[in-house]
Amino acid sequence: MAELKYVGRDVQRNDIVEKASGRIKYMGDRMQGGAAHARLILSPIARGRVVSFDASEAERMPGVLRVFSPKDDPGKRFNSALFLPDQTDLQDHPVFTDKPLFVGDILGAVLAKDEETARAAAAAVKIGFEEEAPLLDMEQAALPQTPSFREGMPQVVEGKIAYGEESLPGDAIILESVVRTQKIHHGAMENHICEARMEYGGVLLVETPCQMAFTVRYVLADLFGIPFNKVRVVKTPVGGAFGGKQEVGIEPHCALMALKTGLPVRLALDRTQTILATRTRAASVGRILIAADREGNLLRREMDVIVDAGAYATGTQRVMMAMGKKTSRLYRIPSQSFRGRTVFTNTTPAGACRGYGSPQIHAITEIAMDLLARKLLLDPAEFRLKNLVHPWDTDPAGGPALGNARIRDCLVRGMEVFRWNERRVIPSGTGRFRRGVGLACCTHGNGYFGSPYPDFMSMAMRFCEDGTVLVNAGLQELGNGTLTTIGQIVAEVLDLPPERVEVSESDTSTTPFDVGCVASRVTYVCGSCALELAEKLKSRFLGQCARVLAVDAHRLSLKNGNVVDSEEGGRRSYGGMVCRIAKELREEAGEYLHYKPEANPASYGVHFAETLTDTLTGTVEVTDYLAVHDVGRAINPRLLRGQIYGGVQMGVGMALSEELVYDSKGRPKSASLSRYTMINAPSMPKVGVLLVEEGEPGGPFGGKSIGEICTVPVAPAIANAVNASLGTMMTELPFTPERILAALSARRETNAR
Amino acid sequence: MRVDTPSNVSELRDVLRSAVAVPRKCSLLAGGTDLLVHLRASPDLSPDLIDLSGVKELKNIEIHRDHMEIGACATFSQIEGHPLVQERFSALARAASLVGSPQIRNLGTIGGNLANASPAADSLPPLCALEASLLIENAEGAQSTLSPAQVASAPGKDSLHADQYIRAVLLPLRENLLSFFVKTGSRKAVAISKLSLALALSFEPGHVRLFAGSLGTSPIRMEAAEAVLDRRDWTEANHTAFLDALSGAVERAIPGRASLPFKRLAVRGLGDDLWTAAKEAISRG
Ligand SMILES: Cc1cc2nc3c(=O)[nH]c(=O)nc-3n(C[C@H](O)[C@H](O)[C@H](O)COP(=O)(O)OP(=O)(O)OC[C@H]3O[C@@H](n4cnc5c(N)ncnc54)[C@H](O)[C@@H]3O)c2cc1C
Repeated sequence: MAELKYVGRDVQRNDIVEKASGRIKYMGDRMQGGAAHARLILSPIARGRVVSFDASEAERMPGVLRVFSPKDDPGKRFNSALFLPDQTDLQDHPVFTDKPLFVGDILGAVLAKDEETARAAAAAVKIGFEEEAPLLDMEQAALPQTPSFREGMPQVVEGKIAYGEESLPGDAIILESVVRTQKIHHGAMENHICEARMEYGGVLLVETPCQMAFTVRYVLADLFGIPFNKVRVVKTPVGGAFGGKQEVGIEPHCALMALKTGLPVRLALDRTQTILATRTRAASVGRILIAADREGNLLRREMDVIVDAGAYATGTQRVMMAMGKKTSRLYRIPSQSFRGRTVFTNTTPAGACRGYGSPQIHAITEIAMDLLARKLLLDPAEFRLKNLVHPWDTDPAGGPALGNARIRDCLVRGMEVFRWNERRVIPSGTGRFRRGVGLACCTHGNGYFGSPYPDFMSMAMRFCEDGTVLVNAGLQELGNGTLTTIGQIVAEVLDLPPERVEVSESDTSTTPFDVGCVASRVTYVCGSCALELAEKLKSRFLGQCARVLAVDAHRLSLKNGNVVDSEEGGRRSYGGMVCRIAKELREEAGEYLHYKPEANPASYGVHFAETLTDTLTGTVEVTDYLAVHDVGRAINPRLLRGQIYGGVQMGVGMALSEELVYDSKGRPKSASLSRYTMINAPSMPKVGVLLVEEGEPGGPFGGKSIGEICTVPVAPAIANAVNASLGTMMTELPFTPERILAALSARRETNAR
Repeated sequence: MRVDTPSNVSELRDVLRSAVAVPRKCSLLAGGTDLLVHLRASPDLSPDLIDLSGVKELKNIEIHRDHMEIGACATFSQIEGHPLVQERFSALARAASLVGSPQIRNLGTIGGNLANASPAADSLPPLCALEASLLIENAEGAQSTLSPAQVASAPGKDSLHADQYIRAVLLPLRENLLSFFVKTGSRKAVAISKLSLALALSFEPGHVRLFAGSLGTSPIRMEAAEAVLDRRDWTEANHTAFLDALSGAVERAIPGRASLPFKRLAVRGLGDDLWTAAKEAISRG
């Protein structure tokens, strides 16, 4: 392949100046005025019934426009993850409820002329409740005798994936364990916000920093019975999403208020409301059995996982199934069974969160793998090497083929750079501070191909009269550099500087359909669409130029913004040719492409962590870190590393400190950032990055996903390091100082006995 | 909402006098790092504000013959960077340096920390260990003193009258005083203290004051551990006795509390830090 000009280079991201200078206008930066301001009224109780709703005081406050109560609920139920009618996820979500199912459930809202008034009025609405005892424990929620607290809805939704012989050889070494992962808040800097208004022609315009504009359109049109083409959803700049803005969130509430009043409505949540009333990473409890022979060859794995959906179905059943689907794509295991049960509790609903179940399932399997390695007296790295998949392996559970699966290269090269063999055998010491190293492997997908959800997209691309290129696509830039990488791919094919390529974001009325910025599909699927379309446009454009110039198209090529004729030697600017094509051929230099991926290979990663644990205070410091990833090809290495740094930061939080916990009445104890501990800069290790770039067929220039997978192995890598250094077998995340000290005490007591 | 911005103590007294005369709902505003969080969470409150941040006398840190006076509006940045605070009252300098983030330390004041009186307020344990008293002044200029614990035990500044404010923190100057502060939270920085210890002791045996923060509304004095430390016996056996005394004090302070199993152990880690620091400083001479 000829040397690439833009792909594989650290092209500066398209929005760097606006973001670094603070000039970019997130929705929250819009001046007040021009819209009525809404404030949600959230349930303070975890389960019960509204018996009185007295808004009289609020309504008397100057500036209050209208108070919405459960009576304003449209009656129809929705599911915030659903985007086609065949999808069977339970539709159980009201807009405004009079039967709150968790602290934070949305009861109503106040609409006022400004935000302060809306806040004060919302606090003045007096609501009486009849309380019922909440169901908070997900294991109790899974018991057959536990009644559903959701009228007419099942309490447990099950799913199974299995292959191979069920029996176990008698002499197998077996590890059984139960691993728990916690409920997590996404922690995007930008809280949830949305604006809705009625436009000319009876079009409902909804502006929202979302990840799936077409899903927002689907849910709104379906819920309110509006023709789809009269709902226009426009994606606005996103200040962090991490899956928290993947499902439809507050858009229905905002749209309902605009529809009912005819006013432009702006609905903004604060941090506590975002923590309480949006979505979370699903907590899980995984019972796992792993069997291996004495040499460490895996024989069978059995997993029985309970996943906590919280109070509404949302997309948690999909998350649960996604967890199961990952289990047959990392190791060669002759037989396996996965049973997942999605259960309901009176807590904030779960949903998509970076990794979509992968961080949870890998915490379960990779922590258990280390415990088995210990039982087998094997080096955890060697143990994995014996079992990891090879390039071009198939998925024994029937999923799409793994593609150029380079996990083995990741592990081998990572061991060398991290000096694994050397560091693993250093004793952790006997003093107050114990040092240890740990690692974890992982896999994640590249889109929806092979799943029940159709994966496809369309794009339009055209040259403008000055030779710049406009890519008309329903993309969603989430801060991860999507627009920049798509621009690089197009620039590479059309041979012009990336800053001359403008890539659009979703506007459901003007951009072609795309599923959304989800499922780690954007580089692999949307990037490939952009690549194929750029090639299609290039050949059309060269053909048009040939007709205008009356020469054979083979003589022409694109070179740095100019059409070059190899025989005549002349150079004509793209813009000049576009104008001549317009005038002389009456044609646009543009193309359209319907694209569908035909593969969904796996991405891979191995993370190595070194930890230092204070056995007296129980605090863990991550002192060194290496992330190794099989990315096929880094389209933009700097942006890619940025994804990894952020993924590690989220993962360290999952490993050590982040956790949404509730008291016995279901009231969250960590509903603010002072109580919900995310990892900040002083607690971050230096993160080394090592990339394995062996090219993935079907991906643009060989590229595949990184944004989600980079947070997947962090928690188990750290957990394994801590367990190795302390000799403990902790399996409940996060490893807070409290849990570390409890585990050390328990171990001391057993040793004393 | 009315905001007064007095620029000196005499103007402040006038504002306070008229506020009490009306009377109206009024809050003193220093750095606002506690108050604004509080007011945003309770939009129904919206009190009038008296902004202390422009009152110049309240920002000074001065050394007198037998004590140091730290103005109530001295920020944690000022305190942590002050050479004399570092030298004479290192526990306080250290505690100040561990408050929140640089942004919070640039705004947050010692007076606000004391008046807000969170059980986790980081200035309280060192001030108790260092025998500080608080200079309280009213609208007429009448002065009195209170101990930090008196203010802390009545959070929400109930211990102060509506026309009173904290003017300064007074710290007695003792010769040959060493002091230390350690805390543990849920991460390295910008962390609410789950537990903290402040120790002040003289070179020669006879003077030891050890207080724990985050165990109750005001810091808990750990007398048994003080006695063990005052033996100045740096053997392993005495070290264990010291840590045991700390665990015992925690057990007595918060019996039955869910956090007890953690805190009775974690206090040993903080105790070990203090032990090592004190031992080194004293043997250095
Ligand atoms: C992100 C963050 C991190 C934090 N980390 C820490 C930490 O690590 N440790 C810690 O201890 N605290 C911490 N805090 C809390 C806070 O910053 C401190 O308590 C700070 O000292 C408060 O001072 P202030 O000047 O901002 O007070 P303000 O918010 O202005 O006032 C607080 C209260 O004190 C009253 N008040 C203020 N000055 C006086 C006075 N002179 N006389 C009488 N009453 C007065 C006010 O009326 C108000 O009731 C943190 C806060 C935040 C937001």
